[in-house]
Amino acid sequence: MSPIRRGTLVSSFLIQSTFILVTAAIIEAGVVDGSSPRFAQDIDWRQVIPIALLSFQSAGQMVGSRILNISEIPTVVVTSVLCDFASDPRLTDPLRANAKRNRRLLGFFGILVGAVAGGWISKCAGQIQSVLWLAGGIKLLITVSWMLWPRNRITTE
Amino acid sequence: MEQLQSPTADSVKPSKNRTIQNHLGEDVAVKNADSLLLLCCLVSGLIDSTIYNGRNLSVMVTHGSSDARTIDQPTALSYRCKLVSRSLPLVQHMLLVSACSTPSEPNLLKAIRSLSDQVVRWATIPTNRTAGQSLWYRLSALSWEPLFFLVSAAT
Repeated sequence: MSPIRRGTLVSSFLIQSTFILVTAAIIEAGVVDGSSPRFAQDIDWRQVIPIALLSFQSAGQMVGSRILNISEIPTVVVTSVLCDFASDPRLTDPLRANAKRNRRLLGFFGILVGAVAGGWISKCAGQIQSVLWLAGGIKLLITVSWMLWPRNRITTE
Repeated sequence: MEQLQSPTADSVKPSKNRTIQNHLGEDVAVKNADSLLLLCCLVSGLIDSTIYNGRNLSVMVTHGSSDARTIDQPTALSYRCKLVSRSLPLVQHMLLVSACSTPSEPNLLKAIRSLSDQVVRWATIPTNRTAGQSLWYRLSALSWEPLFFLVSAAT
């Protein structure tokens, strides 16, 4: 069974998006306080529920990058991406000559843009669930994209 | 002489199911799949900044502990060792995230995590690099995050 089977990727990303949407729904329903910022002094173990769900789905996302053999975009790591980018011997190659370098740079800017946008949205809205709904929607879009993604025409004997 | 039968509802349904099964069973093309991973980067940024804003902890963007570079080294590790070393960073990540969620000294835990990441990174320098590249790699692997977190934990 190939790891890049459509069914595997679709189910993996479907689980990930479900976890994000469930987290958003939990906060929306008021089970967990979604006001932002919130720094409580007492321990509320219900706060662990969204953290565990989001952390778990992030691991699935990283495994996705490994099975697609695009390990230069781990999607959840910043330091190593920047480190590999800076220590690339072919850093100054022409634009089209070094695809890995381009992916690392774009991946870093993807996280940066997402972080800036997420920070501003949660700050303006005063709650964290709106960003989670948005992130879950994007993940769901990725799941649908896997469903419609072209198949691999290269067959290995 | 064989009679040609018109397709009934019973015969059509399984063929449709088989088509979906075939569709889900085929391999996807890896070409241009990086565009979807870049979208995943955006999702990581969105979620992590939001949770960090509200809870002062990072749930997704780690600093190297979940980097599978440690697995991809040309070493003679057995499959079981590789499996354990692949799983451990994820388990560690989840445990530390849960631990960080408690209000007691979250910065100190982050410092420990970041320091352990640096140790792992330092120990897994790729062996196929030249001396100059290796030195540059080691230098760039050093980040100021552990110091930053330790200072913020102390204050």
